[in-house]
Amino acid sequence: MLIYEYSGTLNGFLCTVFEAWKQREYPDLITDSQCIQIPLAYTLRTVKETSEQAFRIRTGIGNLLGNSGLTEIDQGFSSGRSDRNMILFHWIMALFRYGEKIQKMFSDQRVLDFKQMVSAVSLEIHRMHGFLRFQQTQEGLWFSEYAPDNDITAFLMPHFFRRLPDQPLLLLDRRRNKCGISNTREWKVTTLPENLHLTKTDVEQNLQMFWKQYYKTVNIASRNNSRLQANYLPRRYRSFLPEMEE
Amino acid sequence: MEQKLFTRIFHQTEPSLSDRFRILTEGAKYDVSCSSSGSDRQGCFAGGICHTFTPDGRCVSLLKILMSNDCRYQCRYCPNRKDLDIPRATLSPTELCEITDSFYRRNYIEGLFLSSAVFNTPDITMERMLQAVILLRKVYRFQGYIHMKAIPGCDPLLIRRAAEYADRMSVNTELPSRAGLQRLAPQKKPEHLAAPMTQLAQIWRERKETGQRILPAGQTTQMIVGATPDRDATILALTERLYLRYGMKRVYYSAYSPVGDPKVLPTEPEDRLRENRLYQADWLLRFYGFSAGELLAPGENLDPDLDPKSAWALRNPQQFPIEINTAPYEMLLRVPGIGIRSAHRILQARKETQLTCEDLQKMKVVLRRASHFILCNGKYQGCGENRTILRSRLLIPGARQVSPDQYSLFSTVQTAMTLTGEL
Ligand code: SF4
Repeated sequence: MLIYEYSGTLNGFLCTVFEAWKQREYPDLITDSQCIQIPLAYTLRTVKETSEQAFRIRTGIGNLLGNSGLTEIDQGFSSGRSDRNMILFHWIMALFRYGEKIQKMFSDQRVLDFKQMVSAVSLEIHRMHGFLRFQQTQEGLWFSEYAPDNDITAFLMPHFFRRLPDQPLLLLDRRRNKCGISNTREWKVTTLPENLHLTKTDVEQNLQMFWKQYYKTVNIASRNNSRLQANYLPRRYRSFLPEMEE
Repeated sequence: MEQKLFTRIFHQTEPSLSDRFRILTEGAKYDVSCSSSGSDRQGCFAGGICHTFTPDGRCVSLLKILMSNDCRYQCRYCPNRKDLDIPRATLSPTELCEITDSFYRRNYIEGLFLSSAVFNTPDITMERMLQAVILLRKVYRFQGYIHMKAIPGCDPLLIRRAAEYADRMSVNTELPSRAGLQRLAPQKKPEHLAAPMTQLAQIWRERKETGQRILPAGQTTQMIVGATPDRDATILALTERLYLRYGMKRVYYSAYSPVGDPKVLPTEPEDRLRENRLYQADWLLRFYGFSAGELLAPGENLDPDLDPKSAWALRNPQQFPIEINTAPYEMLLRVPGIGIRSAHRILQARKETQLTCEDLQKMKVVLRRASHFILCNGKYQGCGENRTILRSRLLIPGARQVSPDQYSLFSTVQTAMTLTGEL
């Protein structure tokens, strides 16, 4: 069994693609350093990350599929799926082999897996545009927390940065302890600052009350359909929504 | 500053802001009056961002609220009509702006859907709404979406100004026929409804010519279904005219709920399945190249048990089966079980290869329905032409129990979102 090991970054991953292409071999597993279970008989190749190789792969993808192709790679790489690396790997290899007509090979398993993975990520991004809630804090920051399936904070920040231009933001991913911060001039994604203390403003309580009231009012109780509701608003997302508190 | 103002407003007494807020959002909830927000589906707006979903499974994306529910009119189908003894409330423009802006900043909503009862004259009502919207845009620098109702009978200048601030405006068609309008809303003259629609259509056309940023999301309209005896054929023909004549972005239907005057109106709610079928037919008009006349003959109603495309296909057996590998796009679209996206995929994929049934499945074609109308490489796998059998195959199991929000024609979350989207 052939295993590729890489640094854990997207560039590092792209270098494994470069390596495989150069060596003309297909790894059975591509993993970042925290690999958990390694089978008995295996060959391990540690791929060094060089920005030049990653750049060549990116350019190759960009030439074939343009910016939207690269965005798909970015989104795919932020997937929380455990088989993410192999799906991405097979897709890129197939892309280099068949060229842009791969986009139309709807019945190819590699294509299906990849497209499915990417659309799960972009669906979650889309949903979070709606499902995030910001709270005004006395410290002046507008705070929001969530626990997404995929590592999408970097995809959400530009949206909220643009949408709430005069509000300093802090968007916390509870699952990964990462956060997106904006000071209204620029934004970045970092690890959670230590001893961060935030206190809700008084008006926050009142507004949440109004919002909950509205949520209750617009519902038509005689048509309740919690299955449909759960399709659109999965239960795992609800713990951060004030209107879902009893 | 926001905090102070809000706290002051919040603690105002009698009726408290919170009570008025409840009354005015409650009043906007049902789909039955010009003061209401229109159909359920309007909750979803053009960008398709849903901020939450209520237990009934509907998307919430806008704050739907009335400026006032204190109406001078007496439309018989409306829960805010003058002679009812209900709590009345009105908001000031500042109050409305505070709530809207605070909701938006917390990412509760995409924007505002503002309507109102006629609380004095149409002019005074529209003026107050306009004030609120100007304040919101100019002072609050609100960037969110605004949908505003035009109050029939108001000065065209007010509508013109409103269009400069709103993303979308709408005038209610109210009821599918003139006779119905005369009987149930005698104060609303058909001319009062048509004039602002014509004006908005004109604004929309000018916008294209001058490139001005005005009313970017165009106009829509809505009508109540089931309050009058009008048939679906009448409704669809009217819908078609509304699209052609006024360039409506959408026509919305709302199944009548028995909130009106029981002396002249049904006391049972209209079946929401009917509303659902009408939306499906509307979809066929807009995107599938069908005309109203093809779907229904005068006086007919849509078949409650079949989606309108299947119903059409059943009545037109001479058009089928078609060969998937050669049929033109327009015909692919007419096959039950093939949607716009899968039709596009078929076009693309068949350039590369001869398509088989299995390929179709991967393209999200619903073979259970489509197979009776198509050939894949000359091969037919349907159940034949016997109408009774065919019909039974096309029935959607449990269609009548299924929630009307579950579209059989458009099954994925995303298509359902586009379908329900746009406001
Ligand atoms: S004008 Fe008619 S429909 Fe509108 S709120 Fe008044 S009574 Fe209701």
